[in-house]
Amino acid sequence: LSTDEGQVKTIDALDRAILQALHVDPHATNKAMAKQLGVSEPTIAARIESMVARKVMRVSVQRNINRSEFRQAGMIDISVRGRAVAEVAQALTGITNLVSITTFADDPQLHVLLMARDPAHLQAIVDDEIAPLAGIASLAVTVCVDDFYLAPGIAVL
Amino acid sequence: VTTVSLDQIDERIVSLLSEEGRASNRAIGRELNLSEGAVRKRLKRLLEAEAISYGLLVDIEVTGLETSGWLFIATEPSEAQAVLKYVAHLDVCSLVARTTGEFNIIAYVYNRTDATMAEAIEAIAQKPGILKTRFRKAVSIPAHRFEYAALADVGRPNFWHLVEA
Repeated sequence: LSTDEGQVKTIDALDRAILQALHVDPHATNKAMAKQLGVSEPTIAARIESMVARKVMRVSVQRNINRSEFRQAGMIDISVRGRAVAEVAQALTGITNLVSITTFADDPQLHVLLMARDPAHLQAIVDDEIAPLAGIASLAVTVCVDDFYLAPGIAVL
Repeated sequence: VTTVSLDQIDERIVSLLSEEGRASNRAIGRELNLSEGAVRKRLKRLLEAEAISYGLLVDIEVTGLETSGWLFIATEPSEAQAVLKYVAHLDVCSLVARTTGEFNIIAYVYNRTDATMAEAIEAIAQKPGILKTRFRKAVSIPAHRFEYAALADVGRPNFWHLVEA
């Protein structure tokens, strides 16, 4: 999954403890973590810097979909025919408010998650941006109703 | 439900912090030609309105969670909410949604191996109110924009006991 050649992503017990502390509070200060873990502040800073550089982790500010104007989630299952699945996936990366694309070994080979303003907007994105793409044999739209919960924690960095 | 609008300056602050969430307000201000106080004030508004949140992203390679995919669940209609809460609380679930159609709950789940995933799904399927489950293993994830979250009162996934140091 990693594209960075030569990046060593192993972590030791201290790295792991720092990750746990950041999981609880991603905004925790180095000073507070140093005190909690019994090491110096520069040690914490160096460890975090190294983990970020090696793409082990990253603290990120995330936009809350539930406070945005695009809170209608939709999932589109796509059957691909006559074109490589990876190529169709690539063509889909530019669509409006895309959240994720997943591929599968069997039909339907692609799953797309995106956010729209409302169901009509969702349908418009499907009709105007997805359906016309080459290689799409058929698609099925699933509309998410209330209570959409998304908490990315595991990533491909 | 409230919509919080972000102006252009908010957008630029959020974009920078989405790449580097631990950047200081001073560094952000320098980048955008704003005072540290102006950055702090804008972030305070966005955080208080829950328009944004801080999250930790850990690379999947480090987590040791080698398998993931979409889990489709059909429940008794009256049990949908309870099942949704239950699934959202699972340690290895990063997304759960109520949906239209035969499967009324869809979740994205991770696990260590295919075998542990099968066990986990079997345990989920035993829950009262669940009629059937279907799991589709992801082969690849060509796109995932981690700058989005949808906060709910269920907290964040906690997969730490699965992560080997």
